[in-house]
Amino acid sequence: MADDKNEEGTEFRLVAKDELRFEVESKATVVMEMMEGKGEIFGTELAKGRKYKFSAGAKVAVYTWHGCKIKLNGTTEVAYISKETPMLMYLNTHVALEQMRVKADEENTRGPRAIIVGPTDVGKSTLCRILCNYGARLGRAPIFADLDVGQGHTDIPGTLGALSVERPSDPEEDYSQLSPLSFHFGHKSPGDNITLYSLLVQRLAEVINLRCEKSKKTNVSGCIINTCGWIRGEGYNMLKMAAGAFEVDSVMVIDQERLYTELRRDLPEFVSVVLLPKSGGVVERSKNTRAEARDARIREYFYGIDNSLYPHTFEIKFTEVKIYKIGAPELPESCLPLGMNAEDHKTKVVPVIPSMSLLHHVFSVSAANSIEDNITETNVIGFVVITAIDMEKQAFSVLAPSPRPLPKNVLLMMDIQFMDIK
Amino acid sequence: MNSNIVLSGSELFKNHLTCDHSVPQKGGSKEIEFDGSWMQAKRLSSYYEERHSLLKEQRTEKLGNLVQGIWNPEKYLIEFEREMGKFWSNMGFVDHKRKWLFPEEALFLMESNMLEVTYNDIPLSIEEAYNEFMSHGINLEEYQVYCHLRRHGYLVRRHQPLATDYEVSIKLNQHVTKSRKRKRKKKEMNRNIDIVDENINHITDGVCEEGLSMPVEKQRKKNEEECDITEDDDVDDDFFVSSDKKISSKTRTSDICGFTIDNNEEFIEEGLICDKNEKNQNKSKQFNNPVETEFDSLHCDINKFCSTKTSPKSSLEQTKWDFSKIIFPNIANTDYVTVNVPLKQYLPEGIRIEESCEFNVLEHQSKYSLPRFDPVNPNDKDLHFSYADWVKTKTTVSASNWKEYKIKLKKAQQCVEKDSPADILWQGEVTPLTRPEDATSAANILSKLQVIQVFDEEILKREIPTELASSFKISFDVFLPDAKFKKTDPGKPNHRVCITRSTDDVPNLKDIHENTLKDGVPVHWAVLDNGDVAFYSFQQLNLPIDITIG
Repeated sequence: MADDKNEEGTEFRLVAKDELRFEVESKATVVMEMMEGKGEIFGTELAKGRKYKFSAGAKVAVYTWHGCKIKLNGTTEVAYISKETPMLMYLNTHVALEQMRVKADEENTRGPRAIIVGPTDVGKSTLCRILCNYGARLGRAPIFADLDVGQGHTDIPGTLGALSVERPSDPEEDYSQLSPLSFHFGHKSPGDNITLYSLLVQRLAEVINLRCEKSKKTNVSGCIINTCGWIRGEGYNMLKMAAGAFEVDSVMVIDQERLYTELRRDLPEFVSVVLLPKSGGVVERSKNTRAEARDARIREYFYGIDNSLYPHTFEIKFTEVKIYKIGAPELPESCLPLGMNAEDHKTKVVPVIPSMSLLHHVFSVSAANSIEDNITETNVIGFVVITAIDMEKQAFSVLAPSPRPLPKNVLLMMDIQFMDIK
Repeated sequence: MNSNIVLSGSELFKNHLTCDHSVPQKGGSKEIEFDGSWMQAKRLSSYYEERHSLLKEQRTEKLGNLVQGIWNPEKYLIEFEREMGKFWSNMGFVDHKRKWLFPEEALFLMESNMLEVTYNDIPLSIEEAYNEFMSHGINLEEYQVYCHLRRHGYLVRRHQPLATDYEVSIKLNQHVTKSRKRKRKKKEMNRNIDIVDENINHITDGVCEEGLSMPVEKQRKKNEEECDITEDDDVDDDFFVSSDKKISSKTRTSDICGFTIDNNEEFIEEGLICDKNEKNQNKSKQFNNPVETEFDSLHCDINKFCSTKTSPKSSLEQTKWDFSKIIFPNIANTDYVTVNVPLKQYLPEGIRIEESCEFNVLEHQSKYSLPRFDPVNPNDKDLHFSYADWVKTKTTVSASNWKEYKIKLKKAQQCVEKDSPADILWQGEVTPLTRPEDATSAANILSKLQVIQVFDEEILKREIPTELASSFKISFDVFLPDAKFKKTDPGKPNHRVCITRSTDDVPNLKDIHENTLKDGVPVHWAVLDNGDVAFYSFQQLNLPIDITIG
C-alpha cells in the first residue's frame, strides 16, 4: 500500500483482492504499467511491463487476485485502493455460467444466455465485459449483445449490436477492434421508437440464433446481453420483451431489489433471476458526461483512439445516395386508412429530402441495396457524417472512414449529431 | 485606435493581408440560448472564438485618410470639418455651416475605418464610442438595424415626420420636394418598390442560409487540412506494406470461405484506414471473420456474423438447467452470502481462490447503494382502483422452457381477450379506438386517442387589449441606393423601419395603425434577435366569409 511518489510516477502496491481505481483528468493522459505480480482490468489480464495509455475521462479499475505493483504516470483525478469489491460475486457468477457451458457442451444444447439489467450507472456494461472476458480466457466465444442504444458499447450510439468475444478485450480499446454486427436504431433512447426497438431486438436475437446454429462453440458459449438503464414503465416491458426474444436462462439484476422482485414475479419460473451488488467504484455520470461519452464514441469511430485513424472527407451528389429515416410521424388511429395499423408507421421507411437540416447528423450506411430490401432489418456497414451541404451544387460533404465512393447508396438518418471539431 | 503607434512597412503589409472580413454568422436564439446540451456548448465556444479572433484583428489606416470628428455630448452629435469619401452625400447634415454626423453614422464610419472621433482631444476607441454613443440618442438595436441596412447598400436616414395637414394645405411639402427628382421618380416609383420588397425578402433569407453554411465551410477547410497533414505524415513504408497485406488477405479470405464479395474492387482503393485494418489483422488473427471487405473495416455482415468456421451443426434447443446445482450468487433477501471455493477448472487461468469467504450484503448496501426511493407518490399507495375482475386476473403460465412458455402465454392471452365483456364491440364493422388492454393509465388512453390539445395561455393574454401608449416609433427612412440621392431633398422614402426586439410583445393593432403613415410607404418591423435582423410587415387581409345557402 506504500505510495512512492517520484518523478517517474506514482507506485501503488496492491495485495490480493485489492482494486486500484483511478480516473484520468480531462485533457491529460495516464500511462499505466504493471511492475510485478498479476492484475486485470475488467477481466483482461495485464501484461507485465507493457505500458497502457489511458486518455482523458477514462475510469479504470485494476483488480488483483494475487497482489501486484502498479505504476501510474500522469495526472489522475482520483487514484485510490479499495478493498471492498463485489469481484468475488462476479467471479462466482462466471463460474455458474461456465458450469452451464460445460453442461451444454456435454449435451450438445444451447449454452447459457444471461441478460444484465439494472438502473443507470451501476456497472452493467462493466459486468458484461468481465463475464465475456472470463469466458474468453477459458477459450469460450460468448456473444456480447448490446441493447443499450444510448451508449453503444459494441458500436456507435444509436445502434443495436452484437459481437463474438473470442479473446479478452484490450484494456485500452475495449471491443472497438472487433467487428460488430450492427442494426440502425437512430435514437438515443429506446423510448423514442419502442416499436422499432423491439423489432430490432427480435431481429438481433434471430441473427444470433442463426450463428449459434452454425457454430457449436458459439452456441455453447452462450450470450451476455447488456441493456439500458431504463427500467420503469415501457422500459420494464422492453426488458421482459428482450428476455423473451433471447430466451434467456438467467437474469442478473444489479443493485435494485424492486426490479429483482418484479422480474421474479413476471418471468417464467425456469429463468433464474439473481440480484448482484454494484461495485463501490461505479461513478455516477451526469447527463453531460453521457453526452460527452456519446460524442467520444463517434469521434473514436472516425478518428480512432488517440487520433490514430484518418477519416476522409469528400463530396457526394444528392442524386448519388438515397436517404431514409425509419418511423413516420405519428397519426391518430382515426385518421388512418381502414385496416392500417398505427404501429406500422413506427417502422416505416420514409424518404428524406436533402435539406440544411441534415447537417451534422450521423447516417448509417445500410447494407441494403435499395428500398426493396428490408432496410429496417438489414444491418449497417458503417457510418458517415454530413459535414456540409451545398444546396446550389446539390451536394453534401461527408466524413467517412474510407475513401470515395460509398459502398452502398442507402443512408439511414440518425437523431444523433456529431460536430467535427475538437 | 492608438494614433501614436507607427507601423513599419512589413507590419503594415501584414495587416493588409488579412482579407476575410466577413462577419461570422450565427443562427437564431434557439442556437444561442443555452440549453445545457454538450453539443451546443461546444458549438458556442467555437463560435465565440471565431468572433473573438475577428474582433481582435488590428485595423490599420493611414492617419491622413481618416476624417477627424469631435464628439459633442451635449447635442449627441459629432462635429467635423473636412469630409472625405462618398459618405457625405447621404450622411449627416449641415447647420450654420457646421457639419454634423449622427452617432449611428459616426459609429458606422468608425467601424469601417473612415473616421476618428476625439473627445477632449483624446481619440475614442470603438468600445468607448459604443459606450458614449449608445447611452445617448440611439440604442443598440437601432444601431444594429442601421448597420444591417447600410451593409446591404441601402441609404438610411433618421425618420422625418410626415408633413402635417397644415403644411399640406399650404402646399409646403410640394414646394420642398418639387424638383427634377419628381420627374424621374414618377417613372421608377412602382418598379422600385417591387424590387426592394424582393430585396428585403432576400436579405432575410440570406441571413439564415449564411448562418448555417458559414461555419461548415470553415470546418470543411479544417478537415481538409487535417487530411493533408495525415497524408504527409503517413507516407512511409508501413503504409504501403499494410495496403498490400490487405489485398492479399482479402483474396485469401474469399478463397477459403467462399464468401460472395461483390463490391470488392471499390474497396481495394487504398485509404488511410489501412492503418486500422492492419491493426485488426494483427490483433485478431484467430478471428474467423476477416473484415476487410467492410466499408469501414469494422462492421460485419449478417452472413458473415453467422457463418463461422465449419463446425458441427448445433442444436438450438434450450438446455434444462438445474439451478439447485448451478448456483448463481444472489444477494436478495439475505444479509450474508457465502462464496464457495469454485472448482479450478471453471476459473480463468491466473485466478486462484483458496478459501471461501463471506460477502456482507448489509454493509455493502449501506455503503454503496443509495437508498432508492420509490418515485411513486406515497399517497398513491393508499388509493384503491376499481378494476373489473377480469382485468385483475394475471395469467400464470407454467412451462419448462421458452418455447412452451410463449405458446402457452399466447393462448392464455387469447382467452383473456375472449372473456372480456366488451368483446361484443369488436364484432361489427365499426370498432372502438381503444381496447380494454390499453386501460393501463389515463395517459395511455389519451395518447392512443391523441385528443390532448395544446392549450397556449400566451395567445389568450395577447388578445387582451393593453391600454399602454404605443411604445413603437418609426426609426429610419430607407432609400434605395441612388447616385443622385440628395440628403437635403431625399423625397419619399421607399421603406420605413420600426425596431423591436424578439423578446418584446407583438405590436398590437393600435401600434400598427399609428405607425402606418398615410403616404402608403410600407412600414417594416425589424425584429432583433441577439443581433440578427429579420424584417416583417403587416398586411391587410380579408377573412373568408362563411355563406350558408338554403
